Amino acid sequence: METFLQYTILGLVAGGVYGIAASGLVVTYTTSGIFNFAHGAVAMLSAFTYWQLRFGWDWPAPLALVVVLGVLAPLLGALLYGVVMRGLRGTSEVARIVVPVSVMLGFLALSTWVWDPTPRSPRLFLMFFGAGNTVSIGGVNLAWHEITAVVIAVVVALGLRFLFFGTRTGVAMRAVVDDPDLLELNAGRPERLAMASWALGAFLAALAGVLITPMMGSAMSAHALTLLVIDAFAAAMFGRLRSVPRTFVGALVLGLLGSYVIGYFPSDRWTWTGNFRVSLPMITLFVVLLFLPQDRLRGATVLRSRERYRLPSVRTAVVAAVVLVAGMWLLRGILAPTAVNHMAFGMSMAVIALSLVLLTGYAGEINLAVLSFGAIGAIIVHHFGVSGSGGDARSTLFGYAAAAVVCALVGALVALPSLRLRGLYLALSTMAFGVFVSNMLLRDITERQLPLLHTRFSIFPSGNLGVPRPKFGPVDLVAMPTFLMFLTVLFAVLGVGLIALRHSSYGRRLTAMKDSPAASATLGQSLVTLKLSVFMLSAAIAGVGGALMTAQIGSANLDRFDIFLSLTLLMLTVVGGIGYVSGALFGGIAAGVLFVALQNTFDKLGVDHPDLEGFFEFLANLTLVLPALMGVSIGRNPTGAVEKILVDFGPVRRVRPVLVAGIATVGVAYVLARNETISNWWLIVVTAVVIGVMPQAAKRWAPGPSEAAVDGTALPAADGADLPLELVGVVRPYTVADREMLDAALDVPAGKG
Amino acid sequence: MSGNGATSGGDPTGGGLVDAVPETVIETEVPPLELVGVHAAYGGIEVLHGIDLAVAAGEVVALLGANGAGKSTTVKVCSGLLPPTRGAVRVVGHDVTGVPSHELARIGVCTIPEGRGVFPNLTVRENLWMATQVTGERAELEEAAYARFPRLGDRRTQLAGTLSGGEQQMLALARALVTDPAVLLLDELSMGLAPIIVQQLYEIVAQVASDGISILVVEQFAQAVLGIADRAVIMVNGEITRVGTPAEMQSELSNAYLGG
Repeated sequence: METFLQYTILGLVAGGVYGIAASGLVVTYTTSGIFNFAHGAVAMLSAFTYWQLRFGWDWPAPLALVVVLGVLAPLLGALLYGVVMRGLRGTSEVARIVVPVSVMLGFLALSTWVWDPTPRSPRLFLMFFGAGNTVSIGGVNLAWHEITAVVIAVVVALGLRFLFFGTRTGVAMRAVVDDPDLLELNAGRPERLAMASWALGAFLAALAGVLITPMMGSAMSAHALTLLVIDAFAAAMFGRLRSVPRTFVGALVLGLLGSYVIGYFPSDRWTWTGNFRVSLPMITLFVVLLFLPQDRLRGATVLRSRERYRLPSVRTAVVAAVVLVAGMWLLRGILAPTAVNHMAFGMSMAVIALSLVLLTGYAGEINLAVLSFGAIGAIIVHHFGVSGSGGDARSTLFGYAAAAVVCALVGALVALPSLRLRGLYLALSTMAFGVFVSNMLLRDITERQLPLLHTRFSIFPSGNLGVPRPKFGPVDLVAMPTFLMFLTVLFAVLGVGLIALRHSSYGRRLTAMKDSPAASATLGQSLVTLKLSVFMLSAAIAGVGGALMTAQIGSANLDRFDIFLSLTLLMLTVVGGIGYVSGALFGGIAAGVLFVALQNTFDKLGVDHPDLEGFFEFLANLTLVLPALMGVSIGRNPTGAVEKILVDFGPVRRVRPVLVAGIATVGVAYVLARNETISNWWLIVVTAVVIGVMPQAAKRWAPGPSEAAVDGTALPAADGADLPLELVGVVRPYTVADREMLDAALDVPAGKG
Repeated sequence: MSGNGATSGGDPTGGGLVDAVPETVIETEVPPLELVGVHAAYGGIEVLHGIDLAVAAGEVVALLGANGAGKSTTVKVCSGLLPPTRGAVRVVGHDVTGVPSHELARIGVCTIPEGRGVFPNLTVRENLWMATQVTGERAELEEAAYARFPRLGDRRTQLAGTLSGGEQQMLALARALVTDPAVLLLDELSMGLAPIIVQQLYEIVAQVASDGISILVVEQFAQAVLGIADRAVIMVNGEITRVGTPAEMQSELSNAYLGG
């Protein structure tokens, strides 16, 4: 009984802190409709800043607290809303998920920039009032810090309740959710209220951060802190992201469960107890999602979507695929062996990113843990798809097929509970799954006796998963250049396949579902079946991609499948253009090659030029933050970079001389690089310049827009020559000429209607 | 100022709207609401092509027209939700072009937007509380609202979203009226309501006008509002095509809707 009491009290303490963190999440979500994935990162940054002030610079604790909780955190929250989140109105759910995720990644990169992740002496974050200063309650020694945490949690819970129901500002914050315009018509300031609520949310995150960090016991870790507050998601889900009291109940349930697991699970016999404890919030999140009631079906997901994707014809796709394979063939000829390695890694990431194009770009659903499916694919190939041993070991076609099937089935299991809910919940359950895979499956390195089968088996043997490169029939892909070409061909084939799929009736059904779930359902479409099928297909692609990525490296440890890498890949693919196969190419190459290469270059330059080392170190760090900045830009340009390039290059196709001159310049540079007359860097520079200059040159020498307009039927815009009638006035504003043209086309006498 | 005197001919609802207040619209007075050559656009698409309109104190002006004629856009411009691209909006002679909604609300331009002008997840009391952002003390405003609409008093702790359609519009009207506005903008008050409820609501509007408030009413369902309007304005394709008394307008309406 005494044990029970002890663990109950410890559980309540943990639950209280979860509650503070989770309520902050609820505050921001209810007022802005944006789920703040960066909430944990705000807590982490605040905890680090507090550590710096209090223990790094020896400030007195009250002063450091006032500066962090009273000034910096609210300011950060308000800035986040004002600069980033406000721009997300009217964007799709994808942008509203990916942008906060980018902010989270950016904050992580920032923290490793400022606070070296491997310090000479571990950063210790001591409890308030000292760790030894304890009181015995019910036979449990509680530090004053922990008692304070519980008291603060109670105050926060009551305070928020009072704010939202007892003050006009709080009621107005709730009113913002219902109808911001109506509030403004009642002399309210919705923008200011949303900003205030973000400041409050950040304050609560910071409060939770400084309270929980010393309770974690070990040295500070940015990743662990960021993820720990992600655990608060589960608590917030108890209150359906809206109710503060229910969120606190959820937090207490979580805290108690975690405490009882530690208390009652035999950690010596069950090696996974510790891992289970860490994964518990995510498992709870998953279970809660199972019991959430069905969402109301909505019509168009957003009133006015800013994303528009063009769909290339299959023929165009085939041509592009051939160009890609040929280009990679030429490129391979001039790349150094290490560069071939990086490139192959990037292409394997691109294959994984293709699964995102299908799932997110075509169907509008979100998977935040794509690499976790990759991990499962790699595990399957490792265990069931390797023939031969030592240097002759090869992975087999059967292994990859098995990986695809297993990943599809696992995908079905993961997606099923949340398919009837909104996209955000599916995203959260994939994230729960990803953290679960990282914390439990990939940490399960002990060999265990399998019941009935009389064999011993370990899922992730000694923390390293070896997958040899494949041999399909007579085709041996062990040489890296060959493997690179194989990956490129695979990407091209899958890409063309996806575009063909998008053209099929299945693809049209996906688009219909993405555009308007309600309309799609009333047409007799089973949304659950459709979502399930597309999620399974996407998981299968991710699984095969993950296995190939592991084969490219040779062997992978669990860091390769980290949730943060999954998020980075998704973010970069959205930056590239999630609706395009080429967006996947951009995302994969950027995640696998570009930033690594840039960072290595700066590191190397720093070593070569010791006098400028600081500057190059700065650039290298900047490269880490850069992807996040690109991710944040999604709010401004949700359709992605590829679309912009396509639009820019629209005129180039019509101006032959510019096109030929551009290709010729790059061709000459290529030949020179091949002869080693110039270095590869020069080739990159020349190519970049040509790509930058061509659209400008084409604009300059293109037939002027006025010439086209003289012809009565042509549209007066350079890029609008093939614009279908129904899109006039939709993709760009009406002009008088448009009106006349429409009149002519519809046979209406001029000036009528 | 109620204009029931102007309506009679063939209006079935007109009979119930007898009001003792005489017509005292003073033409020389500065109109509380005035639009001068207003152009407005969504993105690059212009939808209002020069609107001139004035609503005198105590006058009820009915703004009529088919779908997409620009009626709601006109209200949005008046309430500050959509800044005009050209032209001016004046409130009691002061230029308020481009002034944001929340400030217009404070100087007495009150709007009940299309649909239900309530916050569905707030209680009736909390909805009324929001009006104090414009003016007044919470308790006083509540008292005034329940005095005018006793039914709201019975439901004060109920969520607004659970009220009937008519009660929701009552709540919206109550919240608008307790702030004692100079100008009241009503967008499609009758939408989705039973005719008997619409009639009741417009009786209230007529009373309100008699207190000297300028009222601009946008309606597709024209008959009910013509019963209480002093003037009717017909919009077609973002332009005002006809202005006249409700009686004159009766015959014009079919043209406006069917585009003759």
